Amino acid sequence: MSKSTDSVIGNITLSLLLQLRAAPAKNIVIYGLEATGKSAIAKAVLEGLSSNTTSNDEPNGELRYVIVRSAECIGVRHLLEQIVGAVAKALDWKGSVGRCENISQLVVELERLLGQRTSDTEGQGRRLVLVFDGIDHQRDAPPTLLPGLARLSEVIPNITSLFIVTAPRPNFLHSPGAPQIQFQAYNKDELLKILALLEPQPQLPGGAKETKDMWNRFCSAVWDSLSKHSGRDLVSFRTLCLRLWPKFVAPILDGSLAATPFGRVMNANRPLFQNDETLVPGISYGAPKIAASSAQTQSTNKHHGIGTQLPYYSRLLLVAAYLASFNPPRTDQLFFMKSAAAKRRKKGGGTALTKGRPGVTKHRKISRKLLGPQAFILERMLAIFHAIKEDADDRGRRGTGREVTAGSADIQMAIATLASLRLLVRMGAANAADALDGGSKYRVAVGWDVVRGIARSVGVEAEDYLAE
Amino acid sequence: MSTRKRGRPSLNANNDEDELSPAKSNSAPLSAVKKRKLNTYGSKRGSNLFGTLASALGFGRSEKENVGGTEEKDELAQEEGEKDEDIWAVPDDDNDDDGNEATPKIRKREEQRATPGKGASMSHGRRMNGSAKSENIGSAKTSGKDVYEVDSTDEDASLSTRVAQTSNGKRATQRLKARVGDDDLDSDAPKRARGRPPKQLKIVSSSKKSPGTPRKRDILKKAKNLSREAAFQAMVEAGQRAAEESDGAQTTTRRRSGRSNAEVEAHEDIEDSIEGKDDAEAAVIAKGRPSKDGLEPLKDVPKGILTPTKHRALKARKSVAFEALNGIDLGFKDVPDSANKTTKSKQSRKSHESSTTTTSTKARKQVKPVGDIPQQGTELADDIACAFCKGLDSDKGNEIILCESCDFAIHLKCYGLSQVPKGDWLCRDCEPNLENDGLLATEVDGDVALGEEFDNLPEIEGLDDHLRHMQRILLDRLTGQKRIKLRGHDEEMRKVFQVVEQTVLAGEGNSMLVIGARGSGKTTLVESVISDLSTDHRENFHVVRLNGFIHTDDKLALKEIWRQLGREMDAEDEMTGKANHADTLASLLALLSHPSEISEDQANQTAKSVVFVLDEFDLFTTHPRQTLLYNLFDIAQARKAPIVVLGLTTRIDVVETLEKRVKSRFSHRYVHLSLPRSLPAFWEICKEGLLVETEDLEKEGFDDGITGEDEFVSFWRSSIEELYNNDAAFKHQLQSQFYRSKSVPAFFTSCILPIANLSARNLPLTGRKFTSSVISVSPPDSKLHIIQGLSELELSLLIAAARLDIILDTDTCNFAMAYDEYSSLTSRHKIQTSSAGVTALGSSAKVWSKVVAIGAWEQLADYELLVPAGFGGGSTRDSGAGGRMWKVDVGLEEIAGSVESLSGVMAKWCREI
Repeated sequence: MSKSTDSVIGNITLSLLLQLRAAPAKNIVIYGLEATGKSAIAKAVLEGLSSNTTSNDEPNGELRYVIVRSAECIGVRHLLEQIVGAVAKALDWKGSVGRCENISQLVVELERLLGQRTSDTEGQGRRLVLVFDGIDHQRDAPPTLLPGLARLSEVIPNITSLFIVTAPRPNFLHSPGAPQIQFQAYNKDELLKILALLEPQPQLPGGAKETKDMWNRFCSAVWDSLSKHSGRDLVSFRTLCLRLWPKFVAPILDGSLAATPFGRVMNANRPLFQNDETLVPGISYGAPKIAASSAQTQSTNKHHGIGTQLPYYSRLLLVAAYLASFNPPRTDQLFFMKSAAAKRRKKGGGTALTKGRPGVTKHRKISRKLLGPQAFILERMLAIFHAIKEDADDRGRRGTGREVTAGSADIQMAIATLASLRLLVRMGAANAADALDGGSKYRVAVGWDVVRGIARSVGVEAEDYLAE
Repeated sequence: MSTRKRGRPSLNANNDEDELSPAKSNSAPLSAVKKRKLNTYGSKRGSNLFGTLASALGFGRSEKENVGGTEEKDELAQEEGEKDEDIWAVPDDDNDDDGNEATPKIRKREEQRATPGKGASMSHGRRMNGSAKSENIGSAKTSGKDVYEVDSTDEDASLSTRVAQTSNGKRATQRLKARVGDDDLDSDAPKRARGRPPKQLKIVSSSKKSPGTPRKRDILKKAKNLSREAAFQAMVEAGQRAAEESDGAQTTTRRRSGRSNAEVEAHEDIEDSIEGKDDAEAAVIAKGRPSKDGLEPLKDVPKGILTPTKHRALKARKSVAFEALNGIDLGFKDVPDSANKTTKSKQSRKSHESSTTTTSTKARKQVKPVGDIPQQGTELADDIACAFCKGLDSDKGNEIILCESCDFAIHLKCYGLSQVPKGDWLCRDCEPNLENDGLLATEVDGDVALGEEFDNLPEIEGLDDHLRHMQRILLDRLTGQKRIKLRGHDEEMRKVFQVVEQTVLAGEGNSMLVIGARGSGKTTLVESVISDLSTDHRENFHVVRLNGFIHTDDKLALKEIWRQLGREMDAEDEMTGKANHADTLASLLALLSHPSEISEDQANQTAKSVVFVLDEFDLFTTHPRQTLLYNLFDIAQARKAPIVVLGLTTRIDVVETLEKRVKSRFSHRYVHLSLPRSLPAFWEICKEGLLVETEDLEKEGFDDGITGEDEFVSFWRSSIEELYNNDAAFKHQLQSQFYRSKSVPAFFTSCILPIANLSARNLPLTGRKFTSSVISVSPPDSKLHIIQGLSELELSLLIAAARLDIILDTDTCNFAMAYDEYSSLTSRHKIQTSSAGVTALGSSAKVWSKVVAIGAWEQLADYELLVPAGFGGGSTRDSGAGGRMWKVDVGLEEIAGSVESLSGVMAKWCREI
């Protein structure tokens, strides 16, 4: 089923269900994945219907609609007041609009706004369509919000509620029999057809036609190399195409390449299609390529940057925290006791590398690294800290000769600083006990890559200590 | 997706090409695919060769007669042969036949084909062969090309035996052809060996000097076959004798049926001999032939590898294909040749067939059953041929689709469809009614081609108007704008009515719970009771309607009560301004309480009854301390005021949730509304939404003076009854609703579109309009429809996470685990593809970076394919979607089934742990 016919059918169905003279359903659900044209089509249909009916000079057949986007509303109260405000606007309500804190008040307000119409005998005629766009992603929604909104149309007879959702849970309105219309995801051909309507900037020197041809083939290439694999919805595909286009045509514009053999242009731009950094959301896209790449490296170095900016003991503490988080406590004896040093050395730190062959056993053991950081007691971390301190060299150390002892104020302060930088995360209740109490629990919040870099900067090979 | 699409394996395409340029493929020794390839290829070439030779001779009629006789033996022999295969045949073939042999043979065949194809005489061709072979032997012996040699000795030997045995040259060619075809077959090797004269076998074994083939094997082979060969030789000779009596051609068939792939080849040979009159034709036919194979390996085959499901499907399909074949044969007899080469060949073949049918109908009949008991095992059973064009190719855009009920297989284009139909597809024979053209049009704009139903339209004056009025009323009912009459709950209705009536008329206080599932008619019941009462006693009571979803706490509920009562009682409005909860409650109590109880001077407070309808009653019990319920029940019980509290709920245990003091004040009257217990009862209710009485029309304000109204109403009634009684599709729709949910509203929703699309031109409502799934307004069955729209990375991650479910034996996983699994899967795939020499398709084997992958992971969580597991990973505030533990909400086995075009790798990931 091609999209065009799909949307046509969707259109017709929707208009049928909304139309007064046809079948004015009480609640309608439109569902489909992101960027499948749900809101756009709903809006177009409603616009068409409302303009149709007003020109029809049939006094009963008036249809008004209100679209409320949940994404624009912070909370439920915001949403409800948006609804009331929009309804008042749609009905050309002159008077003041009351506060609206909950659905009960919403019902009252809507009844008041629609009041003079419902009191008429032919009140049935006018129909108000409330469109709740993305209502399933409403923030802080109480569980009764959706069923409550679905009851609006039961309480007030000439309201039709249209819910636009991504993936409806079964019976999420708690009222059976609401018609649900699916919008299917676009496939490649449809996406390319839609993108062909765009006018890319900058244009090629060869004119509009050349630009169009190039654009179409370019979009197809982008789809095959990038968008098919990640972000296959229309919006991200379009964004990506528009973002890559200037870089793609840059060699043509500066004259170093001819536009005609597309393959050659493709070859010249091959890195563009192989680099998945372009898929990562960020703000440095507009910058030219080199600057962008440097920005990328900078961003990947961000944590290393933090690492180098930390003082020596903080770095060591961070490594100790990582080890405490990822090593099971029972292996501490093996790794950190002095008597075990020889044993450990002999083991040679090949821990992370010597994995079993993948896929051999049916039930694999979960690698501890994959399970994420576990909480540790502060005392344990300090013990580990002292153990690895012995091994650390003093390269990064500023003040020489001054020995720190366990529990000294400097170390305590370093821990508190790390916690405030959210490199360590305090577990448990926020005000349970003294944050620097030996028994309080922490968890490390940096990953392996960062820790390895930091550990090397203080001369500790973290892998040697990692149980795996 | 129940439409089964059978993609022809790509090697068939190769075969087609091979036909045109035989020297091309076949040289790459591949593993499992190869067998099939070689098989088809070989037999094709063999028949091709035969065709050429036979064409030169002008021979070729019914050599099928004796086929039936040897079948039992064949099966036995084949079983043995298959047993033997494990021991010696496969290595033998791998060494001898597969790769190396192909090329010389092709070369040879080219020679052969070249000469006789130009009209050279048979003897010439054979001589050519013979000479070529003797040359081959010599050269092979010297050059040590033993594989080649095997082939040539085979042919030589068979040739010589044949020359010796048969006087008929044509038979010899057939045999030669058979030999040639056989040599290519992997799995047929045992049978071939069996079919060979012992002499030849000796040649084979003795002439083999290859370093790769151990002698032992040959000896083993010899030993194993000697006894069987002896028997077979006797049989063959007997058959030949018989054949010489009747017709020379028969022996070939018999001999061939003695080999394993008897049926197809036999059948093909018939055709080949028929069609072998000109070369080009034969070539094309060879191309088209596999279709026959696909059609006819149907019956219970002693299959080795195939899964039972395929077996079943093929079995079921058999008879249909057979019939279709016959029918189409006749239909195509007169069609002139078109420009299209393939169709032309098909047609010409068919015309040939049909022309020969007259002469050898009997033979044909015998051959067909043979075709039903194919001996060829696994090779071709997979292929499903179009019943119309016999084509095997199921390309994109022209897939072969299978009927759901009879396994009728046909190309989309041959069937006149433009795209693969959604959902279950039924062929014309299986469809409930035959109208499936213009269905889309029917559904979309209500414009149908005026079918044959048009003639049973009644002659009613002003049909259009009537229909429009009818639609108006029906749609209002179906969408729930107007309530339908309650059916089947008379007793319950009487109870509720009694309670309310006593309150209204006698001033009693009452409370009652109406319990029933959603859509069972609780609200309808209460509303109809109230409307019944209000026809006579409207001025005696007020109605307050509350809903647990809307009035989420007692304060709101009280306010709402006050508002509704105030509106009805025209009470002064300043009370609503009071925000004080206590004040509201106090004044409300005062309002409700009996005048005598408060004081004498408030005489303006009338003792009107109040009906409280508490929808979603169970939610009111969750309010703190249940103040509202306590007060209402207290008033009702203590006869302070004539009120009745009607609680509507779906929860059957709702009383248990009441506090003790509230519960003790509740009257413990219940009314249970059950869903219809039987299909007729369900239909009784549904019918209420589809039928219109004359008085309903009048009530709706349509003037009743129009002529023909009664006729139309009765016509409508009869057509609806007709639907229920006689229309299978409609009945099915009704049943599916009944058995799945018993939900009347859901059924009504499914009726909206058919009713709305009705117009005077397509009037008689048919069940088709209800069942067609062009647009469905029903909710999705599961969230699996989402998977179709996922990007490849998202899908891979989902599969990886679902695999972890099984691999790690835990139902939760986090991003790191899923990503680890994903990257190991992908890189393993990359290694495999690169080692297999298949160029990895660009980025399909690319491992996407963690940053990109976490975006995809978040998207999955957004679509609720991943649901938070709720523990582990600590607080959500510090870790995003990446750090938390998730549960995968779909099973691994569900994923593969719900994506239409799943790539092979991912399907494998879903299949194999």
